[in-house]
Amino acid sequence: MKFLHAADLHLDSPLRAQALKNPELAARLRNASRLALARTVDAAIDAQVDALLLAGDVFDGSVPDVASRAALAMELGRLDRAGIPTLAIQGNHDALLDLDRYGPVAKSLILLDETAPTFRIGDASIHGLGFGARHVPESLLPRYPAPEPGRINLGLMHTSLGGAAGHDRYAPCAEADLLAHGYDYWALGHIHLRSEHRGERSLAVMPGIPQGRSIREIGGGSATLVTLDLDGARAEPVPIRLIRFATVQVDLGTAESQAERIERIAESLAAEAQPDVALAARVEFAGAGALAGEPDLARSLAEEASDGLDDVHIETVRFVRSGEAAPPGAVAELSRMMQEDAATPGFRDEAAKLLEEWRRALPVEIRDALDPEELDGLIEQGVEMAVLRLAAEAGRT
Amino acid sequence: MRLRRLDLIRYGKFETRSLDFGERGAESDVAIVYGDNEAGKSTAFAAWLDLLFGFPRQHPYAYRFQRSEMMVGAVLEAGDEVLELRRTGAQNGSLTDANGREVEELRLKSLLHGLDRDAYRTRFSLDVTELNRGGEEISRAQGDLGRLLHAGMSGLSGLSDTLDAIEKEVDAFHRKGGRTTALRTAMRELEDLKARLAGSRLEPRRFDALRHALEAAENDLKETGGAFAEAQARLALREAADKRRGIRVRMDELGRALAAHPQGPPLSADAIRTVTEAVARRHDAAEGLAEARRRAEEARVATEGIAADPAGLEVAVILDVLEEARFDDGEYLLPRVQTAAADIETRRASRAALQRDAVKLAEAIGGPGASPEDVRLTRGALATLRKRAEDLCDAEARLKDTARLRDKAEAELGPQIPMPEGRDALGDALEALDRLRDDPEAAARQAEELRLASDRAAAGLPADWRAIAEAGLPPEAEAMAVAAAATEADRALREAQARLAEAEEICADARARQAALLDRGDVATDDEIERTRGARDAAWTRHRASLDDASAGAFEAEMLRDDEARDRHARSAEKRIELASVAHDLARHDAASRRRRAEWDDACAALEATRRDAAVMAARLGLAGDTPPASFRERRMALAGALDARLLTEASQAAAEAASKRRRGALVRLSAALVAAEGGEIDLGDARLDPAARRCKTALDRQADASRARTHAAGTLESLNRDLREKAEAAEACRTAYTAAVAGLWCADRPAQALLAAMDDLQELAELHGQAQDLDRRIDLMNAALERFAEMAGDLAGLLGLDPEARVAELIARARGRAGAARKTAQRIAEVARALADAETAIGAHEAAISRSDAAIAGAFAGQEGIDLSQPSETLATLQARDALRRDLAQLSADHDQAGAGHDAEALRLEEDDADPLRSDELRSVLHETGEARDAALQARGEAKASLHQAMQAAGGADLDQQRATILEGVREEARLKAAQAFGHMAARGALRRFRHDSRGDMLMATEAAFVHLTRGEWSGLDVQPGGRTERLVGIRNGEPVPAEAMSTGTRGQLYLALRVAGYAAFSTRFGPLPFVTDDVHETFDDDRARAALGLSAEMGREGQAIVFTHHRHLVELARHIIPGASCLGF
Repeated sequence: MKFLHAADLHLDSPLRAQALKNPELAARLRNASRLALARTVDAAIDAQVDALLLAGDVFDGSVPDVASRAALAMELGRLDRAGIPTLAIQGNHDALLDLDRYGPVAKSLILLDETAPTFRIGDASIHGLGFGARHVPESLLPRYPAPEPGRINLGLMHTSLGGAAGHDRYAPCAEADLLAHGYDYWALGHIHLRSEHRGERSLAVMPGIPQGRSIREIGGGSATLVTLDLDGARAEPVPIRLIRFATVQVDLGTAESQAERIERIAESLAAEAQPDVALAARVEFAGAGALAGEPDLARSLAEEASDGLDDVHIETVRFVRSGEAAPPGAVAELSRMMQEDAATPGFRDEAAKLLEEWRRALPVEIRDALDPEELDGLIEQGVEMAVLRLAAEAGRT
Repeated sequence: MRLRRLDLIRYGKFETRSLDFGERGAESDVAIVYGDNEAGKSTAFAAWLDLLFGFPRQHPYAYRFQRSEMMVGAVLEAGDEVLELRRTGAQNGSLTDANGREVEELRLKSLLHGLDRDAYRTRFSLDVTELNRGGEEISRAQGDLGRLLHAGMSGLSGLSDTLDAIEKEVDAFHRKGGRTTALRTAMRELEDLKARLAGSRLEPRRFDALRHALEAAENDLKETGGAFAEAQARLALREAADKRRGIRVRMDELGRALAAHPQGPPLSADAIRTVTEAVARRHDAAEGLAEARRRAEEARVATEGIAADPAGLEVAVILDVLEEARFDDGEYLLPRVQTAAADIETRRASRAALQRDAVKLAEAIGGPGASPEDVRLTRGALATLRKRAEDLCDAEARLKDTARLRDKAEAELGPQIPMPEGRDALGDALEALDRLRDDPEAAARQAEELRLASDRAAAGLPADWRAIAEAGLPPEAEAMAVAAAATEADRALREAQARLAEAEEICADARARQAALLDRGDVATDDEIERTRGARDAAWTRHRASLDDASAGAFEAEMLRDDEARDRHARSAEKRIELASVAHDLARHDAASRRRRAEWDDACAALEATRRDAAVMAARLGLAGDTPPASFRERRMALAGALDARLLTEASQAAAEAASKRRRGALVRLSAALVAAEGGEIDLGDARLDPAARRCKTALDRQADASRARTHAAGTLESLNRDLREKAEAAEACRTAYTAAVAGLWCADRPAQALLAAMDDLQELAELHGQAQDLDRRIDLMNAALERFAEMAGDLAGLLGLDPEARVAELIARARGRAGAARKTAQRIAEVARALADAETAIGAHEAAISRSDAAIAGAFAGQEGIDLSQPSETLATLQARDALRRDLAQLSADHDQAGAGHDAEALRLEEDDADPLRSDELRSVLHETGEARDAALQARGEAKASLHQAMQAAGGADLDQQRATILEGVREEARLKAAQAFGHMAARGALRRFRHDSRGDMLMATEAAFVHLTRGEWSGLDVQPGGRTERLVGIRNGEPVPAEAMSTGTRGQLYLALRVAGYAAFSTRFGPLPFVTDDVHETFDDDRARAALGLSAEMGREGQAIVFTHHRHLVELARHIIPGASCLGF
């Protein structure tokens, strides 16, 4: 039997990308999460699966746009007409969502919960328990039905497993307990980075988010096609994403002219680009020299390089700090004194106060960008940038 | 380090040129180098930098010599050591000694104290541009002492611009209290998007309202659509009847017109086309015949006036052969022959002159009687001889210099000096104290400011505000959503109420109009005449039964009433239509009024629900239940802000206490370090401890510098001894190589210096030999070309009637003219003959075409009665008009049948019989009204449907959400970057503060002395005043302080020069002197100030070495007068 497994669609959660300042790209990806849903449905129909499994967080919130619900209904309607049912559970984001407010979303959508945790398709029994509250601190595994003998057993679960960076701890569950429960396949959700966990007779897959939403979500981009037969369970990722976020390293160490720098950047971007999917790249420069003091110029060079490539966009630019002593020259002495000053407690206290003031001035959603933990890195970066800029200015005079 | 001599061996336009600054003067080491503009002063300075740091990859002076051939050299004095160095453009090992042995770059680096090219250039050179830029820096730095002292020390003048630019960029993103920063702009955009989002999301309540509106609109459309369809059918029947009556009248008219046309079958399309084409062909043929006859006559006249030229054609043949002829090398014969004929005599004269010059040169080199062949040498041999001779001369000079330096170094080596102890620990303790200088006071002030801010933030909040805030505030979005919902519900209720009032008012108007029409009594309705007819018939029945007067009277009365009603009915047809229309409107408005009332009820219920939500939210924010929701967001922000401020205050108070403790610890460590450095017990207060420690540190630093200098001098002497031995060996090797190179040549007994003197003449002799060989080859080629031409031209001159010795150019020009004319004549004769033959052929063809056209017209009109064949076009038009009338008649008959199709035959007949002229208008009026009602309902349904569809199809809030997320991502990245830049700026500010502190004593005094000297007492001194976070430099004039940035441009330039002089002194004291080069900095000074500036150069020369480039001769004289022992050199 074949199933397509996806999770964390987060319908109508926007992309958080500077690349979308490009109006053409922004128009194309305006409904990125809905387009990812459409691609998921296309993949299910193409593979002629027995069912589509959605392991939670279909919606980003508990009171969705009715338009989003309509989009989901339209896509599941296509599956319905192809004779493919959809089995879903609710996750932490859409735990409180009343999906039946306007009647069933689609005739073939089956929502698994405490009242009806099991649904049977052919030789397969599919079990699932959704979130009834936004926060579920305890493991849901003990409440899952026992495997039905003589049948293929699959489980849908929304869980943080043993915990993952950047994800809240919800319905935690030890991997070993999960694989020992007796199900053939666990269709998991919640963590946006794709991973596979194989036991002796069981396979658990976290499919990752089908469309990463920012440069901080680079580990998803696919749904998972699951095949279950006498040989056990096998999983393979099916590409879904429309835009891929990636960090691209560019070594400018020996480049002597702007043209050569642009060429280096373009080569690195071209090597990272893939056909049929846009690329939003965070370009990390190594050996940038004085360019590290002028990030606006660096971004211009990167954009110049990307202009010549098909569907490649610049998200941001960063610099790998050289860690070398200050460059020799007229500013060497000043550079040394700046570094010494930046290491004093007085400077750090003043900087911490400034950072806090800036942090509070920012919109709440992005205050983590100036977290106090970032202070050391920002000071080092700032001193290096100022020294390089002063050195560049000295070289011009 | 001192520069004794700079050698421009092969550099720019110079070759083997030297600037010899000689020995150091007794009092001051100053050299004045004079040269006109473009004489090479800049070249010399670039050569000096290249010697120290190597040639740049793309060299601006590589125009006379390739970069790889360029060489610059120098003799340097370092303490007691003398170094003679060379720098070449080699990839590796470009630094050598005078003998070409590679010298480690480290030797130069240690003499330069780690400075690179830029650092040396900015610190130890100064020109007018830099002087002006320094003046501007003083203005831009706003007198900031730290920045000015740094500029004087480092020579950097762009520091302020760069730091100001960074600060500006940071402030442009975010500044506390700033209203136009990028962050504030982004926040406003985000707020705006957030507000728009609330209206864009398709939330369930909005979706329900849209759906209900669509259902109501669809019901309304169904109702009005039925009425419209019925009115449409009735009007269609009436219009079909009207149309059929009109068609029948038109058919009668066409029948009468057709009777006046000729009889006969209808013309086929082929016949029409045949006649039309035949008429056109006949007309064209007649015109063509006339034209052909005219062309034949013209050709016959032209033939008689043309004569041929056979001799000219023969010339043309010979010329063609000459034009195509080529030499073996592929070049054409004629151009080369013409050039040879013109140039050959000039070339022969040049060759003779070259031979005379060569003989003269040979005698100048080898003596009277020497021939060029005896003394001429190849270019390769010349280069080898030049190299060997130069090497020998250089090696002997270097040996002599090295011996002298070594003797001097040995004589000047002094006793050994020990390194002091405890200096590093004392320095560390002072640095630690400096870093904490403003720490405790600033932290305490900040804590107090934050406490006051916290109190201000909590002002106006209830006493238990902290408990409310810490219990958890509702999300801002939730508070705004409740407020927005209340506002929206209130607005919806007001709108619903207005719509209801408007609908009821319209309804009342319609009802009043209906009553007014009925009250007038002049309208008889169908019901009324039905009633009067019934009453009349009943009276008649009663009268026939009784036949009495009473019944007769009653019948008469009823009959008259009925007649009057019928009469009024006939007269009031239009009014009846109006009444029906009013009744229809009334029904429609009634229905609309009921819908508006239902909407008003819904709005009342929605408002009540939002009020309940608002009361709950008010309680969570500590507000009364009836507080207007608009103030929720403000209250929430006030609570959140107050809590943040209180937490920040508490953290800041803890930080202030920690800072005070750190300061105390640093002073204890400093005291311990001072005791260790000086020995014994020291009991000083905090105020005296710091200066005492700094004095002790300065003394220890001086002792350490002296110890290092003694060690360095000993090393130099050892190095000079080695160098002397190596140079003696090198000189001997060069002498051997020179002797071998001249052996066997005419110059074997000439010394190297004499041979180098004759080198230019030898080079020129070789050049003359090459030129003579080239001329011989050209003369041979010219002779060959002239002979070949004579052979191929044959008797061309005879055919043209010219002298056989005529010039080649004239012969060719005449031949080209004659051949061209003969060829044109032959071509014209052939063209006229062809034109005559063509014209005669055309005459026959046109005559045949006219006959064929006449026959075709007669055939096409066969069968038609009473027509005229002599006027075929007119006849054709008459018959086509007849056929058109026949077709129109048939079409009308079909239209008549078509108009009746689809209608009930009996109903159509009755309608055709009813000739009431008002009936159609009445039906149209009804259709128009029902149509308007249907259209209004259709539009309302469309709008409702579109609203729902748009809401469903649109991205809802996705688009705005996306814009918001993009802005947030941009702000996130920019915030990180600008915060880092802010920290960089802070660090630069802190570094300058330290620089100010470290340098202010000695350097400020030195700057003041130089400034007073430069301004010749016009300014009596410099002073420092506090200003904001730093200190400001001011000048004192007439006892009054003048801020540095307020000085005139010239004075700022002088202040900058004073700072640079002081910076030079500070560097020399700390590390040892390096040559300082100025380039025409005095040109903006008057003589008094130039004198003062030269005095400062003398001052610099006392500490180190000053080299002054100038193109003003009077400055040279002035320098000789002011600076005793100054050396003066010229380009």
